[in-house]
Amino acid sequence: MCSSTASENKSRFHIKLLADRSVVLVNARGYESEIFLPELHRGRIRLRNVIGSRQPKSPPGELSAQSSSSDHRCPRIRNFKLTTATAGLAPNSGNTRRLRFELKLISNGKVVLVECNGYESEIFLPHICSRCVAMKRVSANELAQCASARSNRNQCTQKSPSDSAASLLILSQSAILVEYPGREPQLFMPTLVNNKIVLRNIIFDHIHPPNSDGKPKQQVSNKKCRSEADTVKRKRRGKPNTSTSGDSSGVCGDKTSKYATSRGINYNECSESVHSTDTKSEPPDIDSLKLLQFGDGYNGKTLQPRTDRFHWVRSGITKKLKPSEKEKLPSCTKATPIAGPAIKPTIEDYQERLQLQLKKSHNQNKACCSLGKMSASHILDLQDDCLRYLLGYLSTEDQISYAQACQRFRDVFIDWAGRHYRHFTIDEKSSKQELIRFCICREAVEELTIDLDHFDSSRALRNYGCVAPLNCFSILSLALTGMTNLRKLIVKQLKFMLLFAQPFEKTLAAVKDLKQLRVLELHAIDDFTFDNLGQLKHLEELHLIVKTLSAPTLTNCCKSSPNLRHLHLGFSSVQRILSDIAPYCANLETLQFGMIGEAPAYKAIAKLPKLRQLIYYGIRSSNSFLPLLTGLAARPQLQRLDIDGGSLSTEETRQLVRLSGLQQLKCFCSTAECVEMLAQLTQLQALSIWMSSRVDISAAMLRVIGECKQLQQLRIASGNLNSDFINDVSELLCANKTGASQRFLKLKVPILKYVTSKVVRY
Amino acid sequence: MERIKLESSEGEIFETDVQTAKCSMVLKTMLEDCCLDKADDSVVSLSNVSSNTLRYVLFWAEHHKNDDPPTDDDAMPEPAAGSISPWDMEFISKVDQSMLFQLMLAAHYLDMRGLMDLTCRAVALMINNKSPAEIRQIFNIHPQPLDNGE
Repeated sequence: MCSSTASENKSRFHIKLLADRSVVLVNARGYESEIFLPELHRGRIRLRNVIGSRQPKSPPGELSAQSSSSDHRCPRIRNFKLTTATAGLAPNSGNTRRLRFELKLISNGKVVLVECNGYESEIFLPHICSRCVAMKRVSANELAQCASARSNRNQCTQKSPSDSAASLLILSQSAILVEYPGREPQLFMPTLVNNKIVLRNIIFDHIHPPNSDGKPKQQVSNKKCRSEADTVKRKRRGKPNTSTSGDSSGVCGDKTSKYATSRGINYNECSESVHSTDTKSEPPDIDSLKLLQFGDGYNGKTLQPRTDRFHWVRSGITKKLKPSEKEKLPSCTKATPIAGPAIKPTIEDYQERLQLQLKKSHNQNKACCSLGKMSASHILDLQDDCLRYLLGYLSTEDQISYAQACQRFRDVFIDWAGRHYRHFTIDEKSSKQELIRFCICREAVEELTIDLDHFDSSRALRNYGCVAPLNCFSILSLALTGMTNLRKLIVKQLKFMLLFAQPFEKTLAAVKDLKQLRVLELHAIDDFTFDNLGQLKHLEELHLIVKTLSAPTLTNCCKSSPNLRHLHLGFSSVQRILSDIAPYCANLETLQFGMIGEAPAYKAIAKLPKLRQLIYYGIRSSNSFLPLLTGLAARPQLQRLDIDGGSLSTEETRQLVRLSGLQQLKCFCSTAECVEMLAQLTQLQALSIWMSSRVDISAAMLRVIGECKQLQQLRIASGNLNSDFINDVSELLCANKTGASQRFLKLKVPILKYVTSKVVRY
Repeated sequence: MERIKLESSEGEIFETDVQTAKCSMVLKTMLEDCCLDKADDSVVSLSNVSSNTLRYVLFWAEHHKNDDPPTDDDAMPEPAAGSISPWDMEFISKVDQSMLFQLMLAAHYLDMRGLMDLTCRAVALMINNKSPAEIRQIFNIHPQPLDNGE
């Protein structure tokens, strides 16, 4: 009898009675679970481990004596003829019917009491023996001593029962899979050993081949194993096993090499009965089943073997064999015919894909359903995909109600419909339902255009449009405050209408805290105030096409938006205030404006440190840009200059050509000399010129073309050209051709009787 | 007729004919690509579908196994036109709300367009012309204020 070791003290046994209290399952933390069956041995009851190799070793002679003794007490078992139909398959219940063992758990479930009719009852205690769990017969006195000592130990080492709880599953009524947390699942199969029905640990038998007769089993040939494999395959296909030769008798010995231990097996074939007449009492299918046993890491209940690729499928989890594991396979396994083309995706691939898809879906989900437990008893347990798909079946009104029912529905709706509202326009055609959907999806809106015509009060007298402008606009203002992704806002009042008070101020107040708002465009033909412009802090582009704009308002706006890079002011929107904003527009790169003013009013523009593009439109007084151009010439950083109104004087032109970095120029000229001076702008790429007089500028333009090597577009909007101008340009470009490089010039000239617009290429 | 075994999340094996299983695009592709319909012992583990749900799914699929298969294989199609057939209406009216959602999940998991369409229509009917409060009541959604206070 083995004595207890130190490790035993740390272990805690958990005993279960299974199979109608006829089998003892003992779990121990840190050890493999074991199954014991009661039996008679030398007239006494004992608990025998179903795994033959884990039983206490005894000399061959004793084993024979033991066998003979058992046979003596169970003569029917001795006379029983095992066939390949029963060997390794369902146990013959008739053999065990005579002895009825009664198993009870006593002493708070720590001890097993085994009773058998006509025999003395025995008490068994679990203990650790040779790194395995064994059952030790104890007397009542020993039990009392153990109980007192054990109670002390349990107080120190007691843990949650779930830690050591093992699950046991009957597979196909013919095999038992025991799962133990933290341990490898063990598989037991009923078989006959020494004319006794035992549960054989298939996994352990592979590692330590069972040897009931005390002699090492013979290695079997690959041919023999293949025969066994064929036997299993025939069984799986439901075909009778017609083989009666010795090869199919079940003597196919176990391989001594240790395979990757299986964690389960498909026992469909095990429950099928195959008829044969063989007298051997060895489990016939152990080797055959080897081909079904590979793979690691399974903790499930049923495995489906795929012999074509050596895969196991288990609950959607696929485990492929490592190359090293494949090498360990017996050759008979490798010789198994491959079913199906190997290059095609396998069922495991699809199931993996399903799992990934599910996992991805769950990651996106805000629902509380967990992976692997895909149950939905509540609509909120549905995945976002399902909720989103559902939206397609709802009417617009129902979608709105759906989105307003709860936050999750709203999020799903925004995700589903938001893409339609990234660029949204509210105009007189917008319906109420559209506006509500827009309000729900407001977080997805990036660009919004509000045509105040929608809120025209006069529409209240009509049967379309907004019937309650003030309320509707209040809702819109509320929605604006939540447009966290709004980047561009356009508010337009393009025609006279009856509006409530201060629509622009209310709009600006609503968006003042939107940090993403970079572009603001206001169009107004009526007089409105825009004082709230000064509350916007993140503007980078501002278009104010309004009738009037007070100087303090624009100044405050430029102050509050230090990152303003583009300022577009409507003609005469501002009066003589450029000098006020210049100090606050340190980052202004583009200024587009128009106003009637004296020369000093424009001069402040030259102080803008980063100005790259200056676009002026509208009439201006003569020579009014001279100070401005003089100031700009001091820092020749300007790249684009549009003076779309007022002819350049000679003095202005002289200053203009000092802008050496100018690439685009649009201007009015009055004399050919001014045009000729433009040839000094050697960096010009695009030139658009108007002539306010009818002088011939052909020669001047040829000089410009000849000098400005970078010129790609030339537009002469008005002006006199001679009839040879096109040919002269052609010749000039040919003469300037250097090497293989080609020069393109897009030339637009006034339609004359012999001159047409064309592209000249050499 | 060739048959296939489907294993539910509880480990229960359901055997059905291949034509029925092909109502699921996932299983259909799997069967065709893996040649599973030629292997007698093929067991497809549907670890995310319970036995009860799978029973309903197969019952529905058995009736619809001769339907025209969906043409596109991409993501969810647009809702099909038309109304619920009488058989489907009777089928869906016999399931409770919980099973309805489980069927929807299973249909999504198995990519069964017809069943997905049916379950979505059934839920849409429950939502039809209902206010947000009524929707919350129907689906037993605990009322919570939305982010925007709507």
